[in-house]
Amino acid sequence: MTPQEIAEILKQRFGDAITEVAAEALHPQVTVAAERWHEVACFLRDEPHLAMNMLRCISGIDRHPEPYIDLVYDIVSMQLGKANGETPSPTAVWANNGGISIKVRLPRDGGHVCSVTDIWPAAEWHERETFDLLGVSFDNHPDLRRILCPDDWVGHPLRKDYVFPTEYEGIPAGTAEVTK
Amino acid sequence: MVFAHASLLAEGGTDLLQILAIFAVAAFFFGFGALLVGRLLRPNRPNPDKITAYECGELPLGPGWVQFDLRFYVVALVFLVFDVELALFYPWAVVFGGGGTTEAGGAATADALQSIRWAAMWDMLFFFGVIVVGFLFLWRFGYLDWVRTTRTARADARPPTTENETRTLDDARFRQTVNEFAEAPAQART
Amino acid sequence: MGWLQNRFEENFAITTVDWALNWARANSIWPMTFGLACCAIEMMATASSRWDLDRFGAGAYRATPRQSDLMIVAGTVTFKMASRIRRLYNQMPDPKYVLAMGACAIGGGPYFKYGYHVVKGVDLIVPVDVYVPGCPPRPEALVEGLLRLQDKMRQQTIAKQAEAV
Repeated sequence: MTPQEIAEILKQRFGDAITEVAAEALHPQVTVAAERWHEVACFLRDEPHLAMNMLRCISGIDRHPEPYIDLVYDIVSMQLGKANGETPSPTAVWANNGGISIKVRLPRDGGHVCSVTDIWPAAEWHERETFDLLGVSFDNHPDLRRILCPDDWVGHPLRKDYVFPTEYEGIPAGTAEVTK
Repeated sequence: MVFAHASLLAEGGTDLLQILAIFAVAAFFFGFGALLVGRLLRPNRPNPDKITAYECGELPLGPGWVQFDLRFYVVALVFLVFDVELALFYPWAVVFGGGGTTEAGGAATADALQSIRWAAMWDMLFFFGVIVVGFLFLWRFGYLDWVRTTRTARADARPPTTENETRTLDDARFRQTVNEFAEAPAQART
Repeated sequence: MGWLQNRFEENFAITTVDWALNWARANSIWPMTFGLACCAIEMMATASSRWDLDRFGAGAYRATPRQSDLMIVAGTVTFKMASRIRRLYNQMPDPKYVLAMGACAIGGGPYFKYGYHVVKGVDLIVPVDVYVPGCPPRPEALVEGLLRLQDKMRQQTIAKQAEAV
């Protein structure tokens, strides 16, 4: 199941929810509209021929000065071929088979998307990290709070317009002129 | 002081008490002398953090008192019993091995000694037998296992399958996945 | 030093006592395991057989601050960790010393400019006695730092100090 085939299946099934397809690129990806993402995710996991049961990573990209944040979900199937009666090969994962990346574009301010923790449990901490460092909020997340920065940290550090703090809890915190 | 006691020793009187007294005083001064020197020499700078409980740098959450694990008590009890038993073996072992003096007027001839040894051995075997019964009891009923299961529980333990009630598998999806993998070879092409 | 401190003028007896105390303290430094980042690997290497710290008496690493003399801050200090470092330093009994190992502990290191979560030097949190530069410092450098700390310990005295003007 090559990324091209997966993209084809998604396009046929969801039509307008798939806004962009880049299956030939080095990092094959499909862009999905944010409001239909949960539906698409359930389909990706439950469809027996796709069977994408592993979420590898959730990345966030801040497109400042464009007013968008892109979320990239890398998902892959660990049981490719089971639906056809073959035994899944563990090395198929590295042959760039059975995996694709889904991109979801969100507005920078107040962007929110449905959490996929109920579909792939690995998403729980990845989404917490994205929230902590980029400020994307996830609906229906079981425990959305900061994971890396302290709980009383102000701001989302990996945003490109982040202003470094001058002080934290009385400790002087370096130069305030570090902005891009 | 040493010379005075040397002369007492030469007298051969009941100087044991004096020797013990010197010993006790020396022990006392070794211990408390070290503490006194420390008290005089060490800096004393208390601060509130020094008396709080250590919790790897975090503020302590909750009390530091935890419920004592009773298995340690069982271990200590079992050890005590068998250690005392072992201690009681030693005199027998010495006599049986031919050691021990007869100064206090015990059996002087070799034959008498021999008969004492073998009588003692039967006594000791009886004693050992009683203790071994206790040991077998502990072993059989799992008191020597750290994670204790009695024999009946072991017979019951079998891995949950799809036919059994899933006592440990609460997650319905996990159960479903297990079923799927169990049935995978038989799945027809769709 | 408790009762004996600042009671006597400097004289022969005091210098002998000083010598004895400082000798005892300098040759039995018990560090606290405080490896935070990559410098910890070099600290471990220093404690291992080739550059043996134990021959200086400093090989008995304690995991608890209650039993340690020296806190070797080996690694990057983050803001989240800063409060814990301060609390652990407070929990160490006197006399206590701090050795800042590596560029991050000295002044923020490579994260000085863009590290939003890095404390620019552990001396913003605890008083430091010896700085050992390097990224990471070689084990020989850490050994030198320890020897400098021993020299510093040997300068201590219980004699009456001159009054500050």
